This record gives sequence, structure tokens and C-alpha cells, in this order.
Amino acid sequence: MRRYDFLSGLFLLLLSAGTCIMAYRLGLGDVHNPGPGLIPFGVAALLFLMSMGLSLKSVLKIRNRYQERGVFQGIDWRRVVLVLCVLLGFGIAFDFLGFPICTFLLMILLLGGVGHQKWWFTLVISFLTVFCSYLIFVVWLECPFPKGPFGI
Amino acid sequence: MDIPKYILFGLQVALDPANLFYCFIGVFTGTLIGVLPGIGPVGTMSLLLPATFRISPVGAIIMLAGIYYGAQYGGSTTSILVNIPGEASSVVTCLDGYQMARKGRAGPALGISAIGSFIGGTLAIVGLMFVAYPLAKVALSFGPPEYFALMCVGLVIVTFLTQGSMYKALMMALLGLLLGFVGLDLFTAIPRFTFGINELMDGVGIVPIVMGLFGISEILVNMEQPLERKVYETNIKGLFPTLKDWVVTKWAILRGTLIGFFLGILPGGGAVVSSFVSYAVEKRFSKYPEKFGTGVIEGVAAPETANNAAAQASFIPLLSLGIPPNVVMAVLFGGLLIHGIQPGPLLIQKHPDLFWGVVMSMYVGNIMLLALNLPLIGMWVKVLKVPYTILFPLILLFCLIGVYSINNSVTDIYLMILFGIVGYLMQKLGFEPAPLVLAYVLSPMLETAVRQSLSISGGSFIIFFTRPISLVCMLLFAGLLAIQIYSYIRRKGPIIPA
Repeated sequence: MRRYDFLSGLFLLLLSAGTCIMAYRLGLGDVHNPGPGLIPFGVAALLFLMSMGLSLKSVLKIRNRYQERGVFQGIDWRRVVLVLCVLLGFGIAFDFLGFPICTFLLMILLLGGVGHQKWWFTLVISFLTVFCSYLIFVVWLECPFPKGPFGI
Repeated sequence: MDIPKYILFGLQVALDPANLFYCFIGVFTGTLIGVLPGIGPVGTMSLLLPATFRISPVGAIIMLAGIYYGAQYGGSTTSILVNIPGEASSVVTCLDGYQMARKGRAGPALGISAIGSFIGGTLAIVGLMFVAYPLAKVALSFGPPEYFALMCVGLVIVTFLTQGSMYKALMMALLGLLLGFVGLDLFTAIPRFTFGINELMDGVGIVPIVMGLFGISEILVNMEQPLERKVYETNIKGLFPTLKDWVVTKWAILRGTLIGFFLGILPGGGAVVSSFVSYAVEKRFSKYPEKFGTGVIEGVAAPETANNAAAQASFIPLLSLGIPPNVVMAVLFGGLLIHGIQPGPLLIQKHPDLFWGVVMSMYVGNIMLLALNLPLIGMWVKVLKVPYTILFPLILLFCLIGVYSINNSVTDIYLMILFGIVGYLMQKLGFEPAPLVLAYVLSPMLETAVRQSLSISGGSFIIFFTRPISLVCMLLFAGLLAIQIYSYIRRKGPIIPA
């Protein structure tokens, strides 16, 4: 965990340093008339100091890094990455493929591709999900979802 | 009008057919998501926020509140029958609840859990009525310095009561504050940290953050493990506890109610902490502490009572001060704002129908929950058997649809995915998301309070130390912060063996 503490501390250090610079550029003003960047600058500076503390402490505490057990070890990354890709694909395709097609594809990929369900079961559940969610969100709640190429 | 008249008025609002329906939908959904591991009340409430746009604010809040306290009832079912907590607040119920089920006493375990939850919840509502109203009256005299000091204390207590590293929790609170600064500056209307993205002008929405950090990240974590789970096959009969069970649990239920109520009011307290504390207290009070963990009924009654009492009590700071004490209340805070209602001490005066209607709906909701959780327990057991491979695509779909329908923008989908990845990494690296969300919600109020205070005092920070309430709060804040920093410096972190 120490190595990961160092890395997360470093990430937050860079993030807070960047925020400090941006907040400074926004204008700090003064205590009588605080500018839009004053409070963010103060908070980012505090985070910068704390991130530095986390990184430094983790560096000092690493006694034997080879004995450290990684929190990411032994993870089946394929499913995690696959789910993220499907979600991202949904976001990219949603505006031009529309709600019903995207929902159908999402269910097919998650049920069949990630959940390894039988193909007929995947098709039936995907179709039912599209049908029910269309009724609830489009017909009943009148959510203005993109219609896609078929205009539905 | 005095309190009895308000109670009658609240009952009138709560018993309105439409509100009764929303209350039922809320507690039913709450029990359902409580039973199902992998989705909690925070994710569900944010998921259903867009669906509440078309209903009245009172109905919406009644429904959202029902989800929260309903989830506390449902969470125990999985803890007892599957040894997997449906909710974080039911983790400790696994210890004795599952052991009771293995000994063929699943019925009394589920029964005492539902009855304890009912008693704890109902008594906490009485407390809520009699504390929130006078507290709101006192809070009317609060100015920006008092609010700033109060929010500082709230944030530091949240990090204090965190289950992981307090230092990391404090860092997350700071990150949450920074996240809350995104968007137009409230005083000058200058865009801050928007990177030219128009959708960020109003700030990052609470729904993508909460759904990402709590919904998507939870599914990503579950993707690492086998997706099948086994329900303990047992005959559930004799749901009503025996006379002996009543005798041994009566004090556990009472203590659970008190602990839940007081910890529920505290920022960061809520249902999770109170369930752990009440279990520990019960073990200490017990004549046979060594038997805890082997199927002792007090080990189920105390935490289940406490988590429900805490769920109801945590409405007090939100409804009387406008300060959400935990993440669920932060989502509810967002819900109130979406419906054009400003949470704060004036809420009870300006919207008595909302306050008293919601409070009285909790009584009704608790009765509904008792009916849902005792005679219909068999139905929830069947729900438990729905494979996770079918559940997770549906949860993801509802997250995507829910987040899109807030602003009809795919930017919110991308933000949710981003926060999902962030939440996943945070879980892996030991950073808790709750302080981040809470700080994010408080951020605009905190900044406004500081800038207004400085304007009032002519740029002097002394204003925070010259007014009695803010002075006490600032001293408390400084003390708690010093304890955290001291304990972090002193603690010798363990080197994890290979």
C-alpha cells in the first residue's frame, strides 16, 4: 500500500499544484475583497501540503518494497476493462444511434460478453429491457432521448 | 400553530393518496436495493432523482427518504441469509445473523431485525419532531461566521468517523471542496476550472459524482470477483421472536435506538457507524460477550435498531440547519435544490407541508416496511436468487439513463464514467468517497459563508472567534484537527507482509 500511497500522493500533489496555479490566475484579491481564486487557492495549497506529507511518509516507511502485497494483484482485469469500454461506447454512440439501439447493444454486450449468458437468454432479456425501459422512460416519463436512425 | 397541530397537518399530507403511493414506492425500492448487494441507497436515490422532476417536491422527498430508511430494513435480509451485507450498515449483522440462520433460527433473526428497526425508527422520528423544530428556530439566529464554523466542524467530524485513514479522508474532503468550486463564481460570475466546457458552467452535478463513486465503482469492484453467490438454504418459519428473545433483546433495542439517534445527528455518523458502535456496546454490556459472533440475537437486534434510528435522526441537521450529515442526506440536499427548495432553518417555516409531511410519512413508511418485511420475507428471498449477471447490466443501464436525463447531455455520462474509475481506484487505494461528496455539497455554502464573513468584518478573520457559537465550533474544529494530525504523525504504519 505504501507504494500506492506514494503514487496517489504524487498524483494529488500535481493536481493541487495545477489548481493553485489556475486559482492564482483567476485572481486572489485580498481578504477585504476576496477574488474568485482566493478560497480555491487556499484549499488547493492545503491539499498540496497534505499530499506532500502522504508521499513523504510513504517514502520513509517503505522498508522492504518487495514484501509489499499489491492491491491490484490477482485481479481479472478483462471484465473491468470490458465494462468500462461498453459504458464509454454507450456514451459515444448514444446521440447518433439513439436510446433503443444503444440499450439493446449494451444489454447484449453485458449479458453475453461479460456475464456469459446463453445467446437466446441474452436476446430475450435485452429485448424485454429495451421494451420496458422505452415504456417507462420515453412513453411514461417523456424523457427526450435521442431517437436514432429509425426515429423511435 | 403548535406541534400537535403540525403533526395533524403532517398526517394529512402524508396520508394524501399520491404521497402514500410515493411513500410505498420509496420503501419498496429501498427494501429491494437493501436486499440486493451491489447497489445502495445513495446510488438509487441519485438514479431516481430525474424521475422525481414530474412529481411534487413533497412526494419526491417522501419517496427518496423512504428509499433510505427502507434500505436499512432490507439490508439485514442478505446479511442473515447469505452472509453478504446488502448495505454497509448491515455488515455487523452478518456476524450473528448468519450464524442464527445456520442454526435454523433465520426466522427470529429476520423478525427481530424488522421489529427492532421499526421500534428504533419510530422512536427516532419522535426525537426528530421534537429536536428539529426548536433547532431550526435557534439556527435562524446564525450568521455566515456560525455557518462556516459549523460546516468546518461537520467536515472534520466526517473525516474523524471514517472507517479508513483519517488523513486520507481529510484529503478527500479538500478534494471535494475543490470539486465544488468548478463552475461560475457565485460573486463575480467568472468561470472557474471549466476548461472551456459549457456543461461545466453550472458546476459538476451531484448525480454523475455520486453514481460514479458509489454505483459504477461498486460494479467494477464486483467484476473482479466471481459473479455467482449462494443463498443459504433454510426454512424460514417462526418470524416472531419467542418470549425469551424479547426478554434478552429489550435493552439491546433501547440502547440501539439511543446510540443510533445520537450518532445519526452527528456529521459522518449515520447508519453505518451507529450499527458498529451499538454492536460493540451490546457486547460490552452482555453477560456472555464471548458468545457474540456465534448467533446471539442481541447481536442482530442492536445494530439493526441502531441503523434505522440513525437513518431517521440524520434528517435533523438537514431539515433544521440545511447541513447534510452524510452522503445520503447530501443526495437529498441535491434533490431539494433541484425542486427549488433551499434547505436551511427557514425550510420548516416556508415549507411546513414538506417538513411535517416527510416526518409523518416516516411513521407510515415504517408501518409499511414492517408489513413488507415480515409477511413478505419469502418474496425478498426469491429476489436474492436473481443472478448478479442479470442485475449488474440493469443497474448500469439505469445509471446511464438516469445520469443522461438530468441535463440530456452525454457529458454527464462521461463524467459518471470518470468518477466511476476514480471511485474504483479510491476503493483500492484506501480513500473513502463519503468525505469527498459531503465536502463537494458543502463547498459553495462554505465559500459563500467565508466571503460574506470577511465582507462583514472588513477582512478580519477574528470574526470567527468573537461570536460565541462560531468560537466554540472553531475550537472544536481545531481540537479535532489537531488530534487527527497528531495521531497520523504518531502512528507507525504496518508493513504488510507478503
